Amino acid sequence: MKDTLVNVENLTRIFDVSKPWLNRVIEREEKKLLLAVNGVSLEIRRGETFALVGESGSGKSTIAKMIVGLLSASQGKIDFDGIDLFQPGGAEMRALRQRYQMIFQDPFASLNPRWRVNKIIAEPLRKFDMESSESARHKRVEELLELVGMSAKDGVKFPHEFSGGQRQRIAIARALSSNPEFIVCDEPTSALDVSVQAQILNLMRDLQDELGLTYLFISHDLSVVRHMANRIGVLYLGRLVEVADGKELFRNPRHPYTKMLLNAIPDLDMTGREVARPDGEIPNPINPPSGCTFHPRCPIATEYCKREIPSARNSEAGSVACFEATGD
Amino acid sequence: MSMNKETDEKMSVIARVLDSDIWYSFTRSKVTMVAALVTFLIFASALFAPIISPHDPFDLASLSLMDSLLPPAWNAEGDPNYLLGTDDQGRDVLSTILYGSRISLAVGLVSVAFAAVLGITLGLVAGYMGGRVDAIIMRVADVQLSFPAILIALLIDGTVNALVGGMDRERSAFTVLVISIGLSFWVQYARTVRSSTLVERNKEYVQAARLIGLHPFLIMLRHVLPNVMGPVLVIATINLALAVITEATLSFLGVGIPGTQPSLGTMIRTGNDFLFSGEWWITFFPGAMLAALVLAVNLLGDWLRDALNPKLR
Repeated sequence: MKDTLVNVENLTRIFDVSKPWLNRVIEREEKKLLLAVNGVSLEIRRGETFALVGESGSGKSTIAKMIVGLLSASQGKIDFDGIDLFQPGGAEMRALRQRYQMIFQDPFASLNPRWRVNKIIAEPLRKFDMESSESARHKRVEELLELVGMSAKDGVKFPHEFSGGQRQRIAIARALSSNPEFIVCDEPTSALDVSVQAQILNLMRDLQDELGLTYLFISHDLSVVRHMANRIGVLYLGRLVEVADGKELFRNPRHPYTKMLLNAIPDLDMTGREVARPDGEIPNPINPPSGCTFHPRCPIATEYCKREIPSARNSEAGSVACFEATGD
Repeated sequence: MSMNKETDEKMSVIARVLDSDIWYSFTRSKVTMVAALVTFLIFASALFAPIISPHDPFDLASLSLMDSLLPPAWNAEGDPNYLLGTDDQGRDVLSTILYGSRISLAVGLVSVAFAAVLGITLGLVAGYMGGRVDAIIMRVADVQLSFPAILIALLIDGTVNALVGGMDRERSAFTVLVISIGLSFWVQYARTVRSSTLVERNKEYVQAARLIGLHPFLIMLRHVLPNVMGPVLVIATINLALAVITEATLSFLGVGIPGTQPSLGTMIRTGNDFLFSGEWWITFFPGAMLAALVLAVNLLGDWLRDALNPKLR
């Protein structure tokens, strides 16, 4: 049952957001550090969709970028299929790179506007020397285009000739071209029309079934996550506050922040449920609150929460980082 | 693309050009066609100057001071031998324009190419690498910007003369001009390319290329460069005109092309001295030539910028 593909341990990323050196000296200011991701540990199992949710500024995208190597981590460790991502060099890294891919948020920025679609999709193939000849590569590109529900003839066009949904399909085709096992999806539908979102999500699920992919799915949209995720991790200010199975999290949220988020989902079923607006805003990560960072917004916070930082408590259903949360 | 590979091979190169998007947009714009024609005529006449020009203005033996300052041929005092009149040395203005545009164009093209290659490379590296590399390159650019082209040219010219001994003045003049104009123009390219690179490098298509482990050099060359070239093309066309004018200034100061082989700029400057005494033709005709060249090249550059932008196709 426990077949871990990606294991993240104590991942931390600190950004230096201080002013230039000269300004600091003249204005007598300290260095300002932003703790974007703070000691996050999680594991992603083979074949599942692990979703990371959280408000903007909670560190979702930073985690995604560290996992695929676009950002370096300040601390911590990432294992991909048992191999330490921060250690290997040369040929091993090259082999690893072929095994993970990323789908980006903005389909209007993720495709080089000067390249034809053929060339865009074939780029990973070229880089990893995957097809023997130019015609074999071309054939593979045509297959990929058809796999994501486009016409093989679309390859000769430029990205600007397509709509947002079609572009995202092209981006998916590119991500699939190196036959990866693991795909990081950084809000893949948030830039799309609601009607198109469902098409892209269904395509991604079909591809997962067909190719046995593992997804790390990042989103701020809980209704999208509900549709996609097997397991969900809730981020708050760079900390993972709750991890639980998808259905369990929606049925029985334990962390007060998760409860707050779930209460804010618009009630489309007209059950008459009261939709509570979340109180307050996410605090400034440069100067986070003491103790549990959620305590200023928490309805059940005690004096103890203001002093001590809760660590994750594991249980049957998942883990939760809260002193007061009960299993119900 | 391979679908019509067989037909592609049957089509000649000319047929493929006639079939392309760029040719189509070219035929749709009358202004562009006129500009291209003018540019072509100027380049061709410069190239074939020894064949088509009636006199050889560089052959000092054939010049006669008796023929100096003659007005154009249609004037009552004009000489039909000298269609556009003669200058103060008795040189045929028409021939000198043809020969002079040769030198002007050569200096302009080579120095713009030199400045562009230098500026684009440094701008790309500065913008993409960021951090300390960026800081060093851009501070050098700032320092560079505070020196006018003339000062750089004087410095280089002095150094070269000291090294070569002033004997090969005529041969070294061209190189000195190209290097000094190129060195004073590269900053503009570097700054433009750097700022566009800063925007492009954070776009997700560059991240996608980084993700698969593409070498930074290849990312700059294949992904970033084609997307930052638009403004560069426009600067290059404007700079071609500027380079010709800078060359004229330098030549006037005696740092550039020697007066025995005048360029367009040298002619305008010489003619300028005679403007108030009524000999307008010495400066007017080379000036008209320069204006026509600059305008035509600029119009071509504008069209090229639009034609190469896939979003406007």
